[in-house]
Amino acid sequence: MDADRADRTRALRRVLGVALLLGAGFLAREAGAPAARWQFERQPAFRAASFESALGQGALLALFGGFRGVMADFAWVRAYVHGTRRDRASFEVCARLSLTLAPDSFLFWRDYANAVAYDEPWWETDAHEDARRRRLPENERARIFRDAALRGLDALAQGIVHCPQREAEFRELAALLWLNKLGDTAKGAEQLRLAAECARPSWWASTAYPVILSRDLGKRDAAAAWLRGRIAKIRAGTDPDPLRLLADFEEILRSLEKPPAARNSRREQSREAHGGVPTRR
Amino acid sequence: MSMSAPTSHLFAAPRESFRRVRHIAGNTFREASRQKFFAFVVVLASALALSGLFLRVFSFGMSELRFVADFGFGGIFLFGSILGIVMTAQLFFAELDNRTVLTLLARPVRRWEFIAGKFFGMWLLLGVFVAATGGVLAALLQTRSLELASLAAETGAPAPWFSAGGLGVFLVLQWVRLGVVAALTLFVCAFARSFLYAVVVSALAVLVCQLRGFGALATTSTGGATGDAPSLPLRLAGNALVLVPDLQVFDLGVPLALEPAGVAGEVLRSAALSGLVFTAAPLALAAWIFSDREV
Repeated sequence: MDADRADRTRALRRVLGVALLLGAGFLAREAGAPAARWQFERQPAFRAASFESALGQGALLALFGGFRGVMADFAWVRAYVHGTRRDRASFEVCARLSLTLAPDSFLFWRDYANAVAYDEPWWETDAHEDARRRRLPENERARIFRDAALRGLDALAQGIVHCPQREAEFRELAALLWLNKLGDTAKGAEQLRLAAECARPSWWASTAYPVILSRDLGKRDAAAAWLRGRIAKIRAGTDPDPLRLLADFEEILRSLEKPPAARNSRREQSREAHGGVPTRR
Repeated sequence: MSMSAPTSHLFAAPRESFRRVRHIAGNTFREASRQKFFAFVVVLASALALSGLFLRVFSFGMSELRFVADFGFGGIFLFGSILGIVMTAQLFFAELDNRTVLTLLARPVRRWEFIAGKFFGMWLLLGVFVAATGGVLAALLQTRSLELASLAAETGAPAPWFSAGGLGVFLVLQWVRLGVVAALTLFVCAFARSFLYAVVVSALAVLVCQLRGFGALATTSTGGATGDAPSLPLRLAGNALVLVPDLQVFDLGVPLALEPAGVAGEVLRSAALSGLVFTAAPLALAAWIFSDREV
């Protein structure tokens, strides 16, 4: 009888123990919800493309704990070594690890995007040609280079999400890819416009955009209108001008407003030699 | 007068309990702080924080202060966890193996008071560890941020941001976090039969707690950008993780100390509160299990 009572008491205590743990768990989950939500929104691993990869990246992030920055650097060195060996798969693994561990690093995103867009297609075509001992057909080469440029654009777009304060630099690189690798001047110009109009604009994008718009896309009026708008905003003080762009804008506008035959001053000739963009004084 | 006697009797027991817990905690702290292992871990963690200054040349992707701070933050959690697990288990099993627990429990000391005393002694020691290592890190970051600020002023670059107050808040949170680690270890010790088993299981438990935040992905149907619904076993596992503390919510060092935006008070309170709940719950369970244990 006593033994039965002792068994019942023991079982009851176990049930109560589990109930206490569950109660504490739910209480802690509710109490910790704002902190967990904040971490969730801050960690890019949670915004990964798929659930499984998010879990994998998250596991890495959690395991390395406070040493994230250090591990990201070591992974980046490994990525560089794999890059010198043209080992694309290993390069991708290490570079992605670096980006997961230190997603707010401008350098990692910039160099990764450049490597993906400019280096990887050469590694790929060389690997194919070494294996086949003949040159790849031109259309196949073009496809590989185009795909790489698009992957580079993806990386740059992710870089903007993680390092919004460096948006202008990322958009400049994106513009170069559209202009030089993908041959889409309109999209390149659009990236330059966004780089010129973001919170911390770039000097090159600000001056190159109206020139490309007028010279390459034939939209002289649109370029002049854009310049007039920017000049008016800078003069009114609504647009800060930390890069002292006013004089450059006025010079480009004057050049656009002249008939083509009249554009023959030494300064304008110099600008033509630099692709239409004014040289930095 | 007739009312005062029962009232004083009512409060006498908690007061006595508190006194006994304080004595056990003080003894535990003294015993632990005299061990060479503690001094070794403090020196090692401080050296690791200092080494960040010399290894900063290997930093490529982030600011120098961030790199140095990462070394310090990593060291505090890594060595703090080692200290919290190994010393808690060692002090607990030393009492059992040396039979001093029998002498102690032969006195009017309740078993939960023994567990609470061990915990608070250990938590105090972890506080000293966090303060010592955090002090070295704060001095390092303060000195280097001033040097970098004067360099930035010369070049016209933006000066790096460092908040000593933010670092202080982060250190308090780390103390709470290490309290969770010590409480979990005591919970394991309460049923473990050997020191090695307690250390290994506690270390694995801390690892699981560190990964706990990702259980949230399993419980939500829109965890990934694609919105793929996780499978049923994953969802169940995610729900079971409610029993596991989330140690990732304490990783607030960089935003607190190195980012001007800082962290909202609500987030800090939430992290601290969840830590305290997950300290109290394993302790209560440890006391419960230990009350039935043959010593």
